[in-house]
Parts: sequence; C-alpha cells; structure tokens
Amino acid sequence: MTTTGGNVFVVDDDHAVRHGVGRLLASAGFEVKTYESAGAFLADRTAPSPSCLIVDQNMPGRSGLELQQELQPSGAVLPIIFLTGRSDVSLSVKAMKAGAFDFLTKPVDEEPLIDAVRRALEASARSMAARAERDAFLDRLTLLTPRERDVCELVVRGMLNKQTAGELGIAERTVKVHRANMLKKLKVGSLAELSRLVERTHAFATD
Amino acid sequence: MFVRLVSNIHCLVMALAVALCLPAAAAANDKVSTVLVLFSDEGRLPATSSVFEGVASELGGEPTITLLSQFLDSANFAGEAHELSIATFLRDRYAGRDVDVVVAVGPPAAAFAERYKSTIWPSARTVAIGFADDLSKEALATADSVVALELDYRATANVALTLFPRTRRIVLIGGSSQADLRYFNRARAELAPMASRVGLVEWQGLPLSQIQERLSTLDDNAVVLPVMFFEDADGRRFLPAEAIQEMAASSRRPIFGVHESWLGTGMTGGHMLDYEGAGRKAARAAILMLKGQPAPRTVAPNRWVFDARELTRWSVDSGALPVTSELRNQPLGAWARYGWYLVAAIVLVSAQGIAIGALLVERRARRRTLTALTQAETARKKTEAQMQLQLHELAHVNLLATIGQTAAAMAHELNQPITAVLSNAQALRRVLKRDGPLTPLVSEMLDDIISEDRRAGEVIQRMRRLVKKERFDWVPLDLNAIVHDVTRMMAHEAANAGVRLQMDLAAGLPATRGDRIQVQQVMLNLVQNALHACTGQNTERGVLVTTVREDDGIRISVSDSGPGVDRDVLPRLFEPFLTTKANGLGLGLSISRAIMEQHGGSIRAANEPDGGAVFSVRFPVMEGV
Repeated sequence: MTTTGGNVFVVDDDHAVRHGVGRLLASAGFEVKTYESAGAFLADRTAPSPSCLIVDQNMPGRSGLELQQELQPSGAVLPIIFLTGRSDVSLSVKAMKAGAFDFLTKPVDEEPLIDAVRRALEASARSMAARAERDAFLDRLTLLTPRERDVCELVVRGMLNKQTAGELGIAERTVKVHRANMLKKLKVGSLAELSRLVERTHAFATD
Repeated sequence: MFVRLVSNIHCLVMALAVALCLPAAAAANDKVSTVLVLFSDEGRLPATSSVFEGVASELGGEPTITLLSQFLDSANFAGEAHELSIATFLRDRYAGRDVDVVVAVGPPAAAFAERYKSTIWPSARTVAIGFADDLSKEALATADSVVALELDYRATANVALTLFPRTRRIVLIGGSSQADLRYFNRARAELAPMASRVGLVEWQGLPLSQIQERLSTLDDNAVVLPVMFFEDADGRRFLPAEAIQEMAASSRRPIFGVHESWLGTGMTGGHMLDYEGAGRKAARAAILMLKGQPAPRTVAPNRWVFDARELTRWSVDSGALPVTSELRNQPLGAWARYGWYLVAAIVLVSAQGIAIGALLVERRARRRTLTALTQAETARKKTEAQMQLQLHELAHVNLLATIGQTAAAMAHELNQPITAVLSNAQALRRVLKRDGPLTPLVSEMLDDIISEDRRAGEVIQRMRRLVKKERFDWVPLDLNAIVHDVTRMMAHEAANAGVRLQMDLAAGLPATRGDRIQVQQVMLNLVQNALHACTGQNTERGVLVTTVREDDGIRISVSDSGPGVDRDVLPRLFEPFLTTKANGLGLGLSISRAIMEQHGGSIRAANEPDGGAVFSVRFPVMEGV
C-alpha cells in the first residue's frame, strides 16, 4: 500500500462525508484526522509536520474560506484543498486567489483526491524543508564575528577581495582569512551557494 | 382537498427520467482534461467573475474536465521582471500537471499566454477573450481561437434617442487614464456617423466634481453616455461603477451605458456586453478543441438590459424597449421570497431525498423510470389526438418550471450522501484489497456500487444543468389568450373528470407585461386545483374562468362548484408545504403567489356564499404598453 509521510486534516460538517473521505484517504495510507468544524480543527492544531487540509466550502460557523484566511500566514506549509458543490463559482474564484492548493467537486473520485493530497503533502514537505534550511542558515549566521559578517555582506554583493579590503579599510590577506572562516562557520562550499542562501532567506533584507 | 399543483411524485419521476435520458457522452471517456482560465486582473472586477461563471456553467456538465484559474494582476504588477517572476512561479506550479486549454482573458493575459505558453503549458491550446483591437497581433496570430468582445455604443445611443425622442445632445463622458482614453476614442469613432442626427458633446479630462456639477444643470434635451471612468483629472481612482453612481446621483438626465456591472448604480440601461456569454463561448471553443476539432473565432454576445426602477423614474414607455430586453430590479423583490421557498424546500426534500437516493442507486429504478416514461408516452399520444401539439409542449415547459424549484434544492441535498457513499465504497475496496478477503463476488458488488453512485452523481449534475438559470422573459401579455390556451390544455382532463370548464372573458382588455410561461403556470395551477375540487361532488360539476377589467388592473378569477376551502386552512393557504393531498408537496400556490408578486400583482382565495371556492389573480395594467 501507499505510504506517504504527513497528516491530512479533513474538515466537513456532514459527518458521513467527513468519515467517508477520511476512511478513503486512510485506506490509501495517509494519516488522517477529521473535524466537524473549522473551530474544532483550529483548537486541535498540533506541532508542524508536512500536512494538508481538506475543507468543505459550505459549513455553518466558520466557512472554508474564512478558515483559509485565518491560516493564511502558514499557507505554504499547510496547503488547502477545497471540496465544493457546483454552485460556488465566485467563492472558488476568491479561494483560488487566496492561494487554495486545489479545488475538487463533490462527489470526488479517489484518484483525483489522492493525487491532490499527495501533491499537497509534497508541497508542504518542500516548503517545510525550505523553512528548516532557512532557520539553520540564519542560526549559523549569528556565529559570525561582526567583521566576518561585513565581509559576507560585501562578498555576496559581488565585490572582489580587493574591493572588500578597500571598503573595510583592511588588508586583502585579512579579507581572505575572514572569508575562509566565514564559509566554514556557515558550512557552505562555494560563494554561489552562499549567494543563493542569502537571497532565499533574505538574510540582509533589512539593509 | 385541492391545495397542490400537478401530481408531484409523478413530476419527480419525470424529472429523473429526463435527466437519465440525456446522452451519457462523458461516461465513455475516462481521461480528465484541464482547462485553465488565465485572467489579466486580480479578480475584483465584476466582468471577471461573470466570464468565469460563464466558463464554469458551460463546462459544468463535463465531468471529465477540471477547471482552474489564475490571476496575473497585471495592472498592479506590470513589466517584464514581474512577468518573468510570475512565469517562473507558474512553471513550477504546473510542472507535471497537463493543461489542455488556456482561456486567456484580456490583452495582458493573451500576451502572457503567447510568450510563456510553450514553457508553462507546452501541450495547451489557447482561447483569447478581448477587444479585437486591444489584443496584440502576436496574441491574435498564435491563439487557436478568439472570442472578440464588442461594445455596442451605437445601438445603445439609438435606443436612448427612441426612448427620449426630444433628445438633441448625447453627452459622452470619459475618464483621464490611458485605459479611459482608449475606450473613449473607440466610442467616439463608433458614434461619429450619428453626428448628423444628434449633437455629440464630449466631456473628457475633467474632475469628477466638475462633471457632477455639469450633470446637475443639464437641460431636457440631453442624455448621458459615460464611456469608461477609472480615473478623473484630479488623479482620483475609481472602480468605474462607483464613479457612475456618483454621476447618476447628481444627473438631471438619464444615463445609458454598455457595461452590465453599472446597472443598479442609477444607470437606465443599454446594449450590454454579456461577459458571461463570452465565457460560455470560450468554454464551447475549449470543448471543441478537446475533441480535436477546430474552434472558429466568435464574437461575444450583447444583450439589452434595463433597470426597471430607472424606467419608472424617467416615465419611459417600456413598450418601446427592444423586444428581447431584460428588466432588472423589478418591484417588490419577489425573488427574495421565492428563494426562501427553495430553502424551505430543502428541508422537506431532504426527507424525500433518502427514498429517492435509494431509488437512484437501485437498478430497479431504471425499470421503474422506463415504465413511468412509457406511461407518460402513452398518455401523451392519447392527448395529442385531442390537443394541438404546441399547446402540449407549453404544458410540459410549465411542468418543468415547477419541478425546477424543487429539483435545484434536491440536487444540492442529494449530493452529500452520494459523496459519502462513493468515498466509503472506494475506501472499502482498498481495505479489502489490502487485508482481504476481496472475493470476486464482493469485488463485483463494490464496483457496481461505485459505478452506480457515480451515475447518480452525474444525474444530479444533469438535473442541475436542466434547472439552471431560467431567464425571466418580460413581454407584453394578452391575458385572454393565455386563459384560452390554459382551458384548451385542460379540456381533456376536465372532460375525463366530468367537469364543465367554461370561460367568460371581457373584451378589449388592455395588455400587461410579464413572463408568459410563468403566468400560464399560475393559471394551470388554479384551473387544475379547481378541477380536483369538483371531482367527487355529486352535484353538477363546473369550473368558470372569468377576466374582468378593474380600475387600474385586470382580474382573472377561477371559481368551482366544489366544497370550498376549509376555513382553518384558508388563512395559511399560500404557505409552502401546506397540502391536503396525500402525495402533494404543497408548493403550487406558494409558487403562484411568488410569481404574481414578481409581476407586481396579487393572488387571493375566498369561499363563495353559495358554495364553492374562487381563486383570483390581479395584474397591474402598464400604461403605454
């Protein structure tokens, strides 16, 4: 049977639909939790692991769309798949605009559902990995001495050692030493990799 | 004993029969195709939702098509860098996901599709929607099909001249942005040939406050035609409808226009671009492409739409409106009431739904439905001999209209259990495949449940399509002719019941306006109820339909020789779900009341002093019709 890491949360006020969809995904090897309302889901949110959310669009209380808005900040980590009746076109437009991962129509067949969940979990895992990479890099960045940090910033801007030395008023040899130490502390193999990490994490974005 | 419409259970079976009879084209082909609608804007313009609704409604019946949408927001993020970043993002998003058709809405989207299609959606074909002179040559050349939009300023101006015969000047108003100017020049060029008949005054490049001031002092010989207004000369930015609303508030003269989203702001009407129709046309082109057929270039439809309140405000002779005109903002807001009945219908129908859902899944249902069909067919042939075919078809349309109200609610409610059944059955099949025992017999049974449940889902989708969006047709009505039609339709049934069905019609009745099918529906309800009331009576059975001119209206009365309405029931007679029939839904009279209110009329019931009941409806007379 399929085994895919990650949690799938199913939120639907209709208990038959909720359990049906939940059982189907469980039988396909996913870890599934079901909730009868957006509120119940929010109250139970646990530690982050790759996960996705399947939510009915028409629910009393907090609607699927409102839940989506509430979760917006973590949107990339928790992709949302909407289940919907046919009549909600304008809502669909809103949800897609707000970054819904996918939109499925009831009754939903197993293949498109499982496929959407698998892609959503992959996307979730990817963005969590990216976030972890970022956090680790930012952590390592704090290990640099102020001088090493200066060197890092200038190097990333594409300055040559000589220019860097001029800019900071130190010898070119000293720059080389700082540069080597900095690369070692940051655990990056090349300047290219460093630039990529800095850009992706917006490490110096406040400058 | 007669508070009901046509035999309701029979109706439902008929509705299912109709739905089942539609060709199951999709079932044979399992491949799921993807259609992506790519919008230039960020989704806030009403036109955008309308286009999307058009596409969705046309593709709604195709279960093998997935519909996606994407917004470029090119107004706020213009330039190559933004475009590249969006393209990169979309390339990643659609990696490994085939898109078969891209519908590009507006010039930026069409240009984007032209530039990046090969990278992002390599296997897709494109349909471009836009004004022909806005779309770039490259986009026009590479799109596989085009739905051209046309704004019909000339027809709109002509109607303004017809409705306001004293008009000497048409005031064209334009905003100050680049887009405003493009629209303005287009309108000016299109209207130029009219300059020999009417003065064309151009107000362009002014602050809104100044425009309002000038509008407030217009003389009676002018009408106003705002073209587009995203920004005024002071740099204030607007959603055009907001600007039109401010203009209408200060204008001494009626405002015409070609954008439907401006209705309700105080604009009188015009020949409107039908964005939803454009979406439908694009979707039809997409369907053709998916079938591997060439999709010809088409032009999006325009339609006449007017605001009823504005027509009243300017005392417009509505008889002079183009025949196909749609009227919005009818008085009394009866649709709201109508809608409430539908919500109430869900409550009842959910109970019935379980029984009917079981029927759907059961193979036996097919045989039953066929039997019902055969019976209906036999009955039809029999009556055909005595009635004109045309009349019969009208009756059938009436029948469907009634079913429509309940079917829409039913479709919604049945979809949930159908969803649950499908997921559970598919889960069970997976669990048994893994843990056993999945014997061949069990496997076959599960497959049957799944495929039959899918079929039930398709039936629901078809029913939805069937009852979707019935337009309200607002035309001049000859009520005597309608009474004639209805009595002819019911003649056979009356004869069978041994009831004398008679008419007493006033000559020279003025015309009224309304939806012929809906008014027929009301009259059919009343006559049929009257016939039912008479049956079982031992005395002479008779039903009389009369028309009478009243002060400022026309009254149609249907009186019967039955036992009259129970006095306890009388006050609640028009409430939904009140029925005295064992198998009645009790919706007939409540629907009739909603229809009458929508026509600005009324319906009432009373008992005659000497026995029998009389139901009557009253229509307002429209001056100048």
